[in-house]
Amino acid sequence: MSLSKNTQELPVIVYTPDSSLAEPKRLFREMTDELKNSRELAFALFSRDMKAQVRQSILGYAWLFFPPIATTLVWFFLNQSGVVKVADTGMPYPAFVMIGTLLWQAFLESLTKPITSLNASKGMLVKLNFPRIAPVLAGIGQTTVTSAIRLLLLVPVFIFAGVEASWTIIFFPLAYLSMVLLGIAFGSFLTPIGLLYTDIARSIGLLGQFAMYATPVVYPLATAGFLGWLNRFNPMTYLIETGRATLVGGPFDALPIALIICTFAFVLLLIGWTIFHITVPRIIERMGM
Amino acid sequence: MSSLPETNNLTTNHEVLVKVENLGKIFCRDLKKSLFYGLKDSAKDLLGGSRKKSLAVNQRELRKGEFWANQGVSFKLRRGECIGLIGHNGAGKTTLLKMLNGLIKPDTGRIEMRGRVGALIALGAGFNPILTGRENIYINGSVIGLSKKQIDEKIDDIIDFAEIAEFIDSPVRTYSSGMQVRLGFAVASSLLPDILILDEVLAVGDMGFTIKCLNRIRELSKDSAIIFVSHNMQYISNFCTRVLVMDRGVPILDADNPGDGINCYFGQMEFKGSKSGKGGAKLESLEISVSGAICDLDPVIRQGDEVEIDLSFSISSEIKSAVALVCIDDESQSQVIAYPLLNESNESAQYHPGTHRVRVPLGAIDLNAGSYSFLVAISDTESKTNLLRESGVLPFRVRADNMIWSKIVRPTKAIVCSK
Repeated sequence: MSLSKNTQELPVIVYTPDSSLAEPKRLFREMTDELKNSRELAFALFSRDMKAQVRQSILGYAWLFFPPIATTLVWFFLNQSGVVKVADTGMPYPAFVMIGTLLWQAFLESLTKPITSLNASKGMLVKLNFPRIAPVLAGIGQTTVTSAIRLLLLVPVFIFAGVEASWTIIFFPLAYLSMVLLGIAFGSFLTPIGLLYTDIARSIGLLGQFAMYATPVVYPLATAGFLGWLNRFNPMTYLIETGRATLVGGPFDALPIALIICTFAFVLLLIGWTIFHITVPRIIERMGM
Repeated sequence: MSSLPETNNLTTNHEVLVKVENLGKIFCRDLKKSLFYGLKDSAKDLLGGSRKKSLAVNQRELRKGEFWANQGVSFKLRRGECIGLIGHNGAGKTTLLKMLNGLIKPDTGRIEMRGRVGALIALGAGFNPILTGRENIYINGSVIGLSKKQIDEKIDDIIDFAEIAEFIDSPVRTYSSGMQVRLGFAVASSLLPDILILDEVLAVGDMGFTIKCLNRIRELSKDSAIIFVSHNMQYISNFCTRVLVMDRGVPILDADNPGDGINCYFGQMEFKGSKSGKGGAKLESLEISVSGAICDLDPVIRQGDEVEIDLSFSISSEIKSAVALVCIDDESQSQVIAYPLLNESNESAQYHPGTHRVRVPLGAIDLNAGSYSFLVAISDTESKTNLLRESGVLPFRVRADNMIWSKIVRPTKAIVCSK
């Protein structure tokens, strides 16, 4: 063991009952330091979860692909058999549903991931002092990577359905990341309350389904009626529409609003992160009871 | 883990590493309310330190269902010192440790921690049962703040220390609980902290490993400030340079001499007396005198003092004759020494109906420091049935400056036979 102890400059930690908001400068430094210091730990937790998730499974990572395939098949058959009549989507329906489902799932998972990953590491949180952001980062990383892997599904679907991809496909990763960003931004606001009360996670599970039907995931953008109104005021609409457009080369009608939404999401994320940082000691204290 | 770097820098050896001022913490008994208060406190924090005055005021109104889990705790700890936190269950020791470790925020007061903090509290928390021991060392190591490079350097020492070399690549869930704890301790103690927080970690594992852990802690203690919680007074006496006795969240004694603290801890012990037996005999009184002087309530005897008891009891008329026995019980009410009463000719003394008063010299009390009480048993000579068995009588304490790992301490002269 050769860790030389530096006795000249010892780091000093002070704990007081005061809100860290009282000193914004220190708060900001704390937050950025925490982010920096937790990278390695976050990666360790990330790889732990990635490994553990497949070690006890025969099909392993293949499980990532089954849910979107299942959803796509269900909607494909519903549409094919005429049970549900979906208007013209401008591209083969299976490809349309697949894109929508993948993007939607990326959003929904990033929305709940901070809560679930913190809850999963509750045992450690209440007993060990380590950067509280680390499990959140690990969770976000996990969601981002797994849903990015899922995007590979688009390749066979496009070939099978005979969809021609446009050069604008290079922007698709950005469109995909914007879904994740919006998910995390909303999620960061819900996390503190969601850790205290299980109601939040439950409502997301339930309301998530409604939200999906209020978004053009399995049907094309509605322009009239109640659905049209829902689509219009739903920020997800613009992101999903733009995402689809990058794959086939347009139309990019939703792009300007999508960019505004992303900017908002980014600001929201910064605020949510601050809220998380300030409230998390209080929350963990109550979790440990 | 054998070669700890020697940093005997005398100028830095005595710096204050832990400073705790008027610390207080409020808990809530009711879960629903507690969650709601958590929400309210968070909201208050977000609206900007409306409790900024906490340091000056140091008072907070208790809301409904709340109580002080810690109140008015202050101490300073220097490098090289080890403070023992003792107190009975619910005394607030764990709450204090959690605040020191930064897991929960104080409600009043202030904590200043200088240097790297290591905590041996939850050994193996965060182990993933499906992953191998080696993988878990890396994860656990990063959780306590070691970089991958540092773990690479230490991993062989860690595996050696935990004595699990042959299982290191098996999943942790195949480990016995002892192996998991050993691995947890090995990882946690590989950090070389300035401040070390220890909570009852030694209560697990077999004796051989416990000794190994103690030696490791002793190694670490040369160069750090240690906060040590244990119910085992031998550990406290062995390791601590100071003792803080807590009771219901409040520190009641900060003793520079661990012996005083331990004595105070034993003084808090409550003995539940119990009485059983068929009847026919009654304990009238029991008094204890040390070196000739009678002690009143709560007697404290120094180890090695000559002690005599004055016992009086009565036997009812239907009993022909009875024999009596006096025992000393330790705090767990198990008998340490028995004194069967004899008559002048060294036979079992027979007591007939009536009231008897006897003096029993117990000799030098060579019990280890601790709290004790008497047990008086009277049984029928013929049928051997128990007439009276009364325990928890006249609790007393034995105090000594050092505690030794035994029930009885008898310093003995060694005669030199050859050089």
